[in-house]
Amino acid sequence: MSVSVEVASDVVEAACLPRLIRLAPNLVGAAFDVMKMLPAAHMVDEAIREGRIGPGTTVIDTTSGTFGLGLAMVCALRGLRLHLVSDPAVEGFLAQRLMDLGAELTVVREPAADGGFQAARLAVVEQLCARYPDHFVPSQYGNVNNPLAYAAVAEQIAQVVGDVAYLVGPVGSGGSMCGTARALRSVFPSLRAVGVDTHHSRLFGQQDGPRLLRGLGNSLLPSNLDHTVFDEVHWVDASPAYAATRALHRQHALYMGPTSGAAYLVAKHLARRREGTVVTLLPDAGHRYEATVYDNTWLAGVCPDLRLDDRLPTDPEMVTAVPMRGEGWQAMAWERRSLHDVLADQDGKS
Amino acid sequence: MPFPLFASTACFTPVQDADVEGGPLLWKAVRSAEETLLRIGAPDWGGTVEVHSTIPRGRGLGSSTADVVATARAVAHAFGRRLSPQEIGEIAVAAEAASDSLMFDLPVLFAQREALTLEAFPHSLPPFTLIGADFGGSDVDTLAAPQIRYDARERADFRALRGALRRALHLGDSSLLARVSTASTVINQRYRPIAQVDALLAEHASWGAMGIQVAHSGTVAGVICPLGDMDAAKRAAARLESLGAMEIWRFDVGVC
Ligand SMILES: Cc1ncc(COP(=O)(O)O)c(C=O)c1O
Repeated sequence: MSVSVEVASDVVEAACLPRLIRLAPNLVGAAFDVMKMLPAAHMVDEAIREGRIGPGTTVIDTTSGTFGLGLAMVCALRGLRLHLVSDPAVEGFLAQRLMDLGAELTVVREPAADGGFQAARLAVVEQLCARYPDHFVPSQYGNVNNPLAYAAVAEQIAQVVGDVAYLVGPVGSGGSMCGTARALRSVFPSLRAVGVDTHHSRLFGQQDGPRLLRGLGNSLLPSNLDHTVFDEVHWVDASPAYAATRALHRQHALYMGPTSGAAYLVAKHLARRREGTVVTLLPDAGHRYEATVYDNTWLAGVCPDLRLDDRLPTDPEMVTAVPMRGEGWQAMAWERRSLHDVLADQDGKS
Repeated sequence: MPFPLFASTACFTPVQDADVEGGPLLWKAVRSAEETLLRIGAPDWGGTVEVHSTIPRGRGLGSSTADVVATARAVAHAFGRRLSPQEIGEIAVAAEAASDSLMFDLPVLFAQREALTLEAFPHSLPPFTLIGADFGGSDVDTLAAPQIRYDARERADFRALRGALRRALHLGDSSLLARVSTASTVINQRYRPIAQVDALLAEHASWGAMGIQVAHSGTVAGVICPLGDMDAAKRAAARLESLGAMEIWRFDVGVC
């Protein structure tokens, strides 16, 4: 691409699109700094355009991850008051950064008896909405402007890469994968979408349970996740995801977060075994994970069996039904079915 | 897309302190002459406009824009002036409210009711052979047709299409250009359907054609074939005929 003749109006405009980097002859990484800047900006800017956000509006949402950071950056730039509700996972540098950006932060200390921290956070959001009648809640899990924001990424990939055979990415709200894949399919209808989830996440039919790998997976089923977009689903545990995160850094000098590692593991496998160009979304940079994934002592504590100098696993275990007590790295043909159909099909077989 | 088989030519005879005249059938050309006279600083001039055109009307071939552009150039020429494509675009939209982009030599993304060049591409079209057809039916009045309101998903799709279009033009990739055109045709079929085009969309790949193209408002459509691929061209023409095309044209684009 040629150099633009315009100076960016702000950091969101300058840095919301990924850098497209070749990682193998048929593998391209789409490396974001903070991917969530893109949907946060689109949701807020559309709400401003539709008059749902005015000068006195307080933006309220719940988050413990990079969506809060993206939203805080956008609200700081647009001069909007932001109130975020989070849990103890946010504390430390991220909390400091959110407050620097002017966000007010409420940390929920006790999980709810029913529904855990997520339910407790939502209860506080409801209280805040009552306290600030002029409010806007972006709700990335249900707001259609979350997936729609990724039209910009689809445009970039169509322009720079052209025909894409496989699009790979971690799934949390479903926004990035569904939005990018749907728009790209308008020109490349045979594109195959491969979702990366983790065990004990409800997204693709498993039961909710404790998960070490954060940023992908979900305890709830977001309406922005359209299962019929996906051709294939992979479940990746923390240990292979962390190993792949470090390998991405060692081999390609790409310093990314653990959901990027999980996606890279899957994308590398597809690039090796299948025909055509594979593009993988790599959602955030590694700085937030210096004290965790990039700290060998921490890693040894949570994944005692992990050997960083071992070769990465090259292939998943293929399964024909959604694994219920799965572990490691497993994959299943999804064939653009709804979750209901997948579960009904496998009940019919058993 | 340039269509070399048809053309409009205009002749303007200036008269000082007179109105512009051309007859009721040429009211768009008359408006174009008036608008051009204002722009080149000759507001007290008028004259007569004559237009000779071989372009079939009301089919989506841009016949009225061709008249308007030819007139604007003739008027400017009478005063020893030249107009830029952008100026002619503004004159055309002032004259006919919605205009095609045929005043530009290179491909553009053109907002046809605003005369806004959304994007100008620095490359000419890559080579291909087009088999065009007119399926007939009632004439299309571009202005009377309701303006299309694309939904948010379609607007997202257009962004992907635009990225692919830049790539196709930059690399001279006719096949990718044809895929963009096909995707745009699929969206257009939801709003301004041409019944026969569904069959073209479903079957063209089996003839060795690369894609389908339609007029955004009109009764003409085209099959995009690899340059000089006689076999694909023949099969496309045969199918267009069996679908009831009134006329079929074949020409090459992107060649000198
Ligand atoms: C670091 C990281 N990776 C991946 C995702 C998943 O993206 P999406 O919500 O678009 O499915 C998220 C979502 O919060 C994230 O924060």
